[in-house]
Amino acid sequence: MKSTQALQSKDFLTIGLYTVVTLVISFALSMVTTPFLVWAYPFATAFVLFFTCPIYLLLAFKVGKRGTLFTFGVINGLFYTVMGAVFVLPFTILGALLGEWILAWFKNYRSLKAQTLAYIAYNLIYGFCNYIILAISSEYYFKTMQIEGSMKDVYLKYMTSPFWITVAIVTLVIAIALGCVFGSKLLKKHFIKSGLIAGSY
Amino acid sequence: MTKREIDPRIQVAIMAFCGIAALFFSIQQLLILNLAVVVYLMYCGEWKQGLTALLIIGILYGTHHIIVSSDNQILKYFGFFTFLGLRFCPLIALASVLQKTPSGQLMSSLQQLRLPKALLITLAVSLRFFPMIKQENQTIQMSAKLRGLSLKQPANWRHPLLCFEYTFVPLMMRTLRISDDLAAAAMTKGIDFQAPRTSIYSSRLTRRDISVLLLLGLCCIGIAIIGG
Repeated sequence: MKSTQALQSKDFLTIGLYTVVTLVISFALSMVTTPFLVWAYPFATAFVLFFTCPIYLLLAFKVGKRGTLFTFGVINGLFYTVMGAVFVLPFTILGALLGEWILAWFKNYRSLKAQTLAYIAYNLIYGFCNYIILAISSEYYFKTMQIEGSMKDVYLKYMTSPFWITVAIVTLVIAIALGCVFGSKLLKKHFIKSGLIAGSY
Repeated sequence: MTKREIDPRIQVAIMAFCGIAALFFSIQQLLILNLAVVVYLMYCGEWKQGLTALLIIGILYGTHHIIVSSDNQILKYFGFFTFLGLRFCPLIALASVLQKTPSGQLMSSLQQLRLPKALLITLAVSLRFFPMIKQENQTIQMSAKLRGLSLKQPANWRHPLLCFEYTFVPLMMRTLRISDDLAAAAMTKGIDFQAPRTSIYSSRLTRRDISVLLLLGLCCIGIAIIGG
């Protein structure tokens, strides 16, 4: 008999669906934050990720198996690749592997603490891939993003200053932690209560 | 109108190629790329979508030109959005053709690439689900508006988390239901069976598929060389 601990076809279906929802909400919120990037660039990623936490938590609790975050990361990266941002894929894979390692360490795929830490680890790598690309080659980054003039100075200020990088990291961690708490409340209030998903913390 | 079917593998390759090209192109190069994609849409028999895309490209390019010519700094900031629109237009147009491919044909074609089954299933579902999200969201927003809970009503902006909950929970309930239905349908069709899947769709690359890929590829290279 096939082990139920391995991801099955129905799990991949679920992961695919929820990855699409996460991507759509990320893009929609990114468009909302774009006008404010000049003043609030370090906080934009955190703002978007806060609202993706409930979706990820729902996926993680629904599937509750090893490999969920990795598949989620790979599909995310592949969609960015098809959109032209090939450099995102290695970061999503790396972040997802780190997240999976954290989850394996906790040995509980339906633990809020474990999933929060795993999602933070994933997003610290994925969310900062543009910082890393900038560090490797600023010319390549600004050319692909078509940023020039005063906007380029603003981006350079936020993405190279150690103070603003620290602010961005701290904000991201806090936003994901709060997002997961918010997500867990929504899950308990609606999905776990109705029996649609299993919950154990 | 004759509809010409291009192999899904070629469609995905074209999307990836155009996506990468669009990342590096300037505004003039993007315009030519968009026009090339419109020609591709017409060739595939998607005349209505091709004309709609042409109209949208015209509006975006015209707006971008006005913004760039203007001295108003605030207006110039919105040039970023028109540029983003022109960058994503080819991908959205190509995706609109791909999403009309039956999921069985898509999976049968991608199976030829020897991709892991897990990736196949996830990709196929993801691609098919994109247009469904829009429909589901529209239904949810309509229902929320009737109850005075819509995001479009400024009074609700004072409670952003509640607004998110009123959109998120119904959307997730629907997604859960869809995933369960899809899983049941897939299991009924033997998706877990270990042997390679058979399909009524033929997944052979034809001369037309290769020609289209080569033409669009050469077009992108030509645009890069001429515009560079």
